Amino acid sequence: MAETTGPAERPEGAEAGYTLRRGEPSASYGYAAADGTYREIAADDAGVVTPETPEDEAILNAFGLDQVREVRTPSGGTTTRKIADPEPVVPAPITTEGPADDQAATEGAAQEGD
Amino acid sequence: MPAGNIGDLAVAIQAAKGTPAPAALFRVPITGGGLNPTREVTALEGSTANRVRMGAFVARARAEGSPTIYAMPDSLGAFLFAALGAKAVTGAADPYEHTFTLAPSQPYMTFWRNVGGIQFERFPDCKVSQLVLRSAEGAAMTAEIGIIGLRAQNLVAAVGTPALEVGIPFVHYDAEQQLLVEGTPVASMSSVTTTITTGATVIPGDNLGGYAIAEGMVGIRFETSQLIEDGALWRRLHYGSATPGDEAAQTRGLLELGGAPAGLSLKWTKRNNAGVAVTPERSLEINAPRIVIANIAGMETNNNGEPLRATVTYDAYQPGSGSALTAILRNAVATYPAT
Repeated sequence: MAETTGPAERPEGAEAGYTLRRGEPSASYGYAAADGTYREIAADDAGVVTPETPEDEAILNAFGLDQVREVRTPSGGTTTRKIADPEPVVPAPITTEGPADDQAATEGAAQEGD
Repeated sequence: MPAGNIGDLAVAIQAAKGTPAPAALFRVPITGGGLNPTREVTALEGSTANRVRMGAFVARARAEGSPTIYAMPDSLGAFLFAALGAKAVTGAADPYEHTFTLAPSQPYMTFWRNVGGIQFERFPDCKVSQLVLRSAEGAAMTAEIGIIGLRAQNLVAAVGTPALEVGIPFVHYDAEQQLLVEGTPVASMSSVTTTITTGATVIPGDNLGGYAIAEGMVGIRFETSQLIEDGALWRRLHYGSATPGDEAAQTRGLLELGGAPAGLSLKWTKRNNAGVAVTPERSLEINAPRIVIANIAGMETNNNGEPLRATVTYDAYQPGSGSALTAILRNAVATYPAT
């Protein structure tokens, strides 16, 4: 799994709410926007592509580029971009009320479900 | 007297509508057809002193044509981008890999042409309305490019750069063992025609040529000629199974191709004189993952004993994700820039 250390500042597109994508280092993606202008989006040295418009996002989606999950490291304020690692699935906590015996009975019933 | 085989077609990608590209990106020989200024003259139907028509006026003047060129490893990318609308390039050195996919919009292109060394023209603000790639046994692959444009301009001199792209285009046998249907090579396939219709049409405005060119619904169709070596595909199309039972009824289902890679995967790879793929690679790959067989023609007896040969028509539909057609070109071109 590729892991790169990027700049401390988040890319402009990411600030605007667009999802960073993993391309190949130095790759570029070009397309014609709806108004007839040509747009080109280049991947950085780590292969991360930063969309800046909804059209950018649609094109990168069409190319099937994986999403990049951006995480903050606890020290130094450095942004680490972890590529193509899906968000961890955290099971929802089970909250129960009542005596422990009731809880066990509930869990047992649940195990017999379909 | 100028010879008719003097001339060329040049192409570039525009950075914006309304601004012609300043220089050509590629210049290629023309093998047929052309690109011309067009004009529509409309009669004035008012009454006159006698039966003769009152007059006429120029209603529209645009550009239109369908030049055919050879499918050259370098310049073909510009035409694929013009037809499909999105491109990605990877690779730090030759061979570069260009992936072209369908996008909601197509780029505006500038074309130039030289006819006979006596007439030179530029065609800004054009879009591709259809791209037909023909690969047939014994022949070099050609690309017929349907073009519509908002205007034409006379030039006083020919475009001399870049150099004309010459050499050997892709030829049919470059696809040996690489014409895959449902992941299986169909070695008897003696021709493949790929037609991409973009639905591009001129949107009228307050001027002579039109305001813009808008894309329409895309149609992608493949037509192949291949031997009928057994009746399995025919039975799948009409009876829903390669081995239907006795008295099986016609199916109501479409025949959507499966396999791995799914659908059609067609590839042409340039080879050296010994038949080995050249390095750096020069290839064209066309993938269409969601393919439905529209028709099979040719399941007919003949009176001369020739083998049964089918013309199979395949239509591409939108897959669950990604592009209905992806073209991958590997060549020496680092980039197809817009200017």
